[in-house]
Amino acid sequence: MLARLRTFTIDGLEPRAVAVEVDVRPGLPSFTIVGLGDRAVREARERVRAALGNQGYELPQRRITVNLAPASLPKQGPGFDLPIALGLLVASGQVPAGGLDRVAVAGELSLSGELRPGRGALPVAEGARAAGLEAVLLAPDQVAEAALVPDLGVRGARTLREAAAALGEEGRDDRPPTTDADRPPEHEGPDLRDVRGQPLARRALEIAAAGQHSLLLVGPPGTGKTMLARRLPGLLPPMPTREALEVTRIHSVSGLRTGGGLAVERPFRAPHHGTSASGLVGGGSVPRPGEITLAHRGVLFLDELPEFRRDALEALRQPLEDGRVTVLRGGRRSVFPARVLLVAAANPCPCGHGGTPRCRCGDVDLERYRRKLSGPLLDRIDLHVGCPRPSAEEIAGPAGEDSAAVRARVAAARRFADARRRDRGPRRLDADLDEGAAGLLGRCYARGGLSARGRTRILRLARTIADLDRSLSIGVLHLAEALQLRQAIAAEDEQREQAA
Amino acid sequence: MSACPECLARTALLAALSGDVERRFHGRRPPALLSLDDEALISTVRPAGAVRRPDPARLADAAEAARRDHGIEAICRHDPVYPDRLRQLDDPPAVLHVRGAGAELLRRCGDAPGRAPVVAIVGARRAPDEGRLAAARVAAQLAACGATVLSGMAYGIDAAAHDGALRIAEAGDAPIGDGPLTAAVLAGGIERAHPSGLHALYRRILRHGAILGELPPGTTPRRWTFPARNRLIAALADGVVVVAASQRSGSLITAGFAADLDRPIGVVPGPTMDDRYAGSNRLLRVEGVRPVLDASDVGDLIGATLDQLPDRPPGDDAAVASCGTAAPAVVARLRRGPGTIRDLEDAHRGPPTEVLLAVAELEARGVLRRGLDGRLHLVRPGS
Repeated sequence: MLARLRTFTIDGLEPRAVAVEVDVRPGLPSFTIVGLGDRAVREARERVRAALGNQGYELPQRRITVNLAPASLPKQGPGFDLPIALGLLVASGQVPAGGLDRVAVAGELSLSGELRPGRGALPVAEGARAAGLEAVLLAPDQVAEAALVPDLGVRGARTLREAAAALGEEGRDDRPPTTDADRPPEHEGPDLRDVRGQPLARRALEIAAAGQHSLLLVGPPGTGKTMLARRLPGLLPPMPTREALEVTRIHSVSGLRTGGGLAVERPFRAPHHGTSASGLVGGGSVPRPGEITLAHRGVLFLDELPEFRRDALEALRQPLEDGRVTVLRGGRRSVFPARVLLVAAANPCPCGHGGTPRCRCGDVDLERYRRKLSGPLLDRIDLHVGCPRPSAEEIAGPAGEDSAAVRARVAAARRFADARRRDRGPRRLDADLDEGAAGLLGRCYARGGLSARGRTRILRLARTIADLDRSLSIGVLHLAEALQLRQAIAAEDEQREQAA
Repeated sequence: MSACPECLARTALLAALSGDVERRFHGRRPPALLSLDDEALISTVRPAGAVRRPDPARLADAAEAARRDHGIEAICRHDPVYPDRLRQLDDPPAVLHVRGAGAELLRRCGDAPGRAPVVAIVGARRAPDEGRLAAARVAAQLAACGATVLSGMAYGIDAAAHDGALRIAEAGDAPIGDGPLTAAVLAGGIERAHPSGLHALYRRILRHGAILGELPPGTTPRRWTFPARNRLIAALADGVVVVAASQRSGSLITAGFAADLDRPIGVVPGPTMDDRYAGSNRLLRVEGVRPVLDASDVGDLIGATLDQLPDRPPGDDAAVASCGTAAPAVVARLRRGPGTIRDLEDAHRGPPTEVLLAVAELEARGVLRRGLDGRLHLVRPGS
């Protein structure tokens, strides 16, 4: 007898429909799974065999063939355990065949026959809804996440036996009464209040958050560069539901979260500097999202920027520009979203104590370090701020402003910018400069201290600073502050090359 | 300008034995080594092995090729341009290789009446910022008076001195016909910059001044060739100014040569508690060594009257004043060393926005720049 169930495999971040066909017929007892499954799929055989027995079912002593269709699509993961087991039960007549073609089934089985929490509940539910199915049947931990998809029955089952029962229960919905999406988003991450001193870096964080400008922090070890970067996600406005769903999907597929409903916090990812190019942008024989995608809608923090491998940084360039990553592997193409706010940190010199009397680096060392730092990524960075050692008074002084106050200003600036763009339509940033600012910018440019690209970058920075000030025009003070916070290392190198 | 075959052969021999000197004497050169004649030199440096003497025709070809490819002239001690003052050395170089405005420089080192002086400014490589500023300032003042600033194009003080003079040369766009405002004596072949990190400075010196050296093109600098180069700096200059030398600095060797040659020595004094100035400050105890605060002290030192030349740009004070009310305070603070914008706001005692504006204007005019750590450094010290 033949049973046919519906499930989904994850290809990149997208769900792909898979039909699980189980055929049980007389012959020498055997159990074969075909259909381009990976190792986890092949090992499903042993899990299913044990789970059936431990749940009081029987493995039919006949010739069992399981096919995962379409046969050309590679399939991975342990999520096929449950559909295979249920298919076996239906095909051998141990469970009635009701509801098979209207419910998507996914789940990993333990040997005892219990369902284990797994990855990718959200995309599976999205796939089920897109395929016009009635419900999705999953482990209980995954219910909250699957419930983010509206107009779909969500059924949770603790064991194989419960799952067999839930399969036929038409109209059953275990959806929690209110989903997490209704909960007002609350910020629970680290607070800017904890950072003492660093007035310039705080200001740079605020500007970075308001205008989505990437940032380079330079300072000796232990001055709070990592602390500052960690607080940046909390300065960004809360994610709208659409963005939160994107983040949830990515993190669900990557196994960063299992269950728990909608992601509320913007992600913060700080990959180690030994991370490979494919670790940063994504890759692998089965394409998996990299750190830049895991940080989507949040902050990607590259501590010790000069220590990163050159090819890894090189690989980040295009995704930073495009906001997405395209991974081509084995003739397959996956596109991952990658909209991040980049924060990089570096020591001021090889010994790390640059600017203090402890520094013993010579000009040659500094020159070499500078060249290393101004590698492939620096021309993607707008802001550059020093983080000196805080003075004794600053350390002992009162706590700084908290994240909520800064977040409010950032949100106001973003609203102001949106309104400005809406009211005035598209226009060149130069047109916003007032007379004094235009003069100063002209002088900078004429002296050769600014490249054409640097000039555009300065304008964008100054525009953000003016937005924070809720000023329609860019004043000379806005521009002066932008000049003070701009990243000029890359430009200086260009000039030197021209001079030589 | 030319070099005779014997002198070219002597220089080629030095280049050939350069590595042996390094190995045999552990990078130190016995004082009289370069005054030995060829046979004695060979038996001292390479007692066992034979040295293949290069063919004179090949040497002439090589000199011609250097002139053609790099514009490098070889000038030997029999040439009328060869400065007499080099003969005061026990071991004058057989050949000087020059590039850029070399002939003009060597003419200046002669004894023509009314010629502009040649002043050496030397100091440590790992020099404090204040020392670099001091060197650049004295160099700029000297260049504005038309004097030539001579140094060794090392990192630190040497580079700052060249840079100070070059800023005057570049701003004035003056023709170098009346003499280069700066010149560098290198320790190896002069066809390329070493240290290679100062390639940009090398190009600038070449454009507005002269590069010279004793060893033929292509020779790798060795440890012993640096002090050997220093003897040329001391001998070519009318006087030597030492800035920020620690007790072990090679610039004290230059000062030693200068003393042997009776060249006047000046020292830009530094903080007495700072080791990085200990060597130069101690020089001040030596009789005849005088403190140098600005170019007029240098003029007194070498017995020349230095007047600001009419076609040279004046100091930066006027430019600084036009950069806003806080600019003078900002520059004054940064002369004491690099600082953050916070330090500048403390120094100004006025509204912080004035500091921000002044810094933007000063940076736009290239008076200061931001370092990697975000602190502001003064690039041009003003006059």
